[in-house]
Amino acid sequence: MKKIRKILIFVGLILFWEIIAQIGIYPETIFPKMSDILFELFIAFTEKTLLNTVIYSIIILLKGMIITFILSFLLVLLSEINIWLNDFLELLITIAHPLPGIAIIPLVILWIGIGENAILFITVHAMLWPVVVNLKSGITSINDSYLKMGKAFNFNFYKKIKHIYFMNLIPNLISGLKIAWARGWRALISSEMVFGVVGSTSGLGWYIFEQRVYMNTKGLYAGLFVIIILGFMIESLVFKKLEKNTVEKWGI
Amino acid sequence: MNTKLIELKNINKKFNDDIIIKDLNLNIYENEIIVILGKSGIGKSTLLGMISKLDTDYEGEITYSDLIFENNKISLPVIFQSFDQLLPWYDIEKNILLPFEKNDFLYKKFERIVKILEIDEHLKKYPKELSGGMKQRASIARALLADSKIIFLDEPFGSLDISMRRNLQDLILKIKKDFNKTMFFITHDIEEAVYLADRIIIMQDSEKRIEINLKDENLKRYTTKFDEKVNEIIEFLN
Repeated sequence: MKKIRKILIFVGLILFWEIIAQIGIYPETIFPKMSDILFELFIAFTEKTLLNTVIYSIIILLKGMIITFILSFLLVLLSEINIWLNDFLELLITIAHPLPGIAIIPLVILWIGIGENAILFITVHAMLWPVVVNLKSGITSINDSYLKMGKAFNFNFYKKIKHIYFMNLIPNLISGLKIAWARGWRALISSEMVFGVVGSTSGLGWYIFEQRVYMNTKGLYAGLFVIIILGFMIESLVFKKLEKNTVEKWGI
Repeated sequence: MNTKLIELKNINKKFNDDIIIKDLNLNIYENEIIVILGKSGIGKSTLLGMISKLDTDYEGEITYSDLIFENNKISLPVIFQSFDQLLPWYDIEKNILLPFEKNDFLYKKFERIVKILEIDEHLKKYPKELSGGMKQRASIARALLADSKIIFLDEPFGSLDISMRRNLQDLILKIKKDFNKTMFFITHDIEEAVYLADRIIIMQDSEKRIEINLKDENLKRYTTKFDEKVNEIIEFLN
């Protein structure tokens, strides 16, 4: 029922937009018709200009996710081995976690230049810390009964890591990745806007920026629509499904 | 007398400066249910921890007979009160089989055990979907699958309601008979102790203990003799 209500509200908003635009209160360069935006969206996708930028951005995001995944586990593992490393990581989190990706762009330009690697660096920076923080809290909150059971049944090191520690971290990993994805996506789009075309292809951020430069407001809205749709799809298809098959199914 | 499985000699256990267990000598025999009874905080679980090798920090000597392990696997299964001894991310079948190396022999044993324990229809369910009693049955099944002749139970039915409790107590007696297992059972429920035990060790404090032998008495609930025994133990505990 809630779903239907939401769809009805969404359709209503679109109709409302179309009516306002059709009346012509605002100039079309600022407030284009919804039908024109959707048509622009359709054309941009069929001509593959928009599709290519979306694919480009998503590939960077996926690369960032993989790096974040490996790096976060590595950092947390090292911090569990040694108390000095643990304190070092805690300090690093305090420094780096509140630092917005966009704020370190000037520094990244100095270090890495303006290529794809710079965008990737900023994206990973935005994603890494929430995952690390979540994994750390997952490790400290492990249920003692699982460990006692593992000991009573003589679980070896590998079995303990795989079946108890790692599985116990999955809820934390999912909630970390959920925050990471939202932060990474924002950092990615904004750094793409700054860095523009890299090589022959560019990302969704640059696409939107370019549409504004050419005063193609319809295209600009189309780009924003894609961001909204992608955000919705990843949230509801990927994360909701992941949660349903893990946290909800296990009741933890 | 039955064969000795475990022998405890002059066991002393301290926690910081507090003496928890002093000069304990105890033998555990084959195919008996030995119940440790006492108020909470008296050191029952500490004792179980030491004998089951969960805790190795004590003075004295515990020797284990070679008979305990059928296939030389040094694992002493423990069933705890907490339902969290089943991992929530695996279904019941995986939870039961997880500690063991899989082979045909194990799987046949597994099928037999889950049938006897009446959990064969719940194997694909997750712990979250089962009642407390069913979860404990699954934990018992896992313990039975281990190669050990002895099973440790640390107030396993403490969080269950009375009917489920009685149900599982009968199951314990059946398991002892069918699987020829020794059970080291901790409880603070006197009726449970009298109903199940071949021997009861009452822990009064760190040093004073009373042993009651019920091996040949076969006490049934709701009989005068049963009630007399319960009253006798209440006296000791006070």
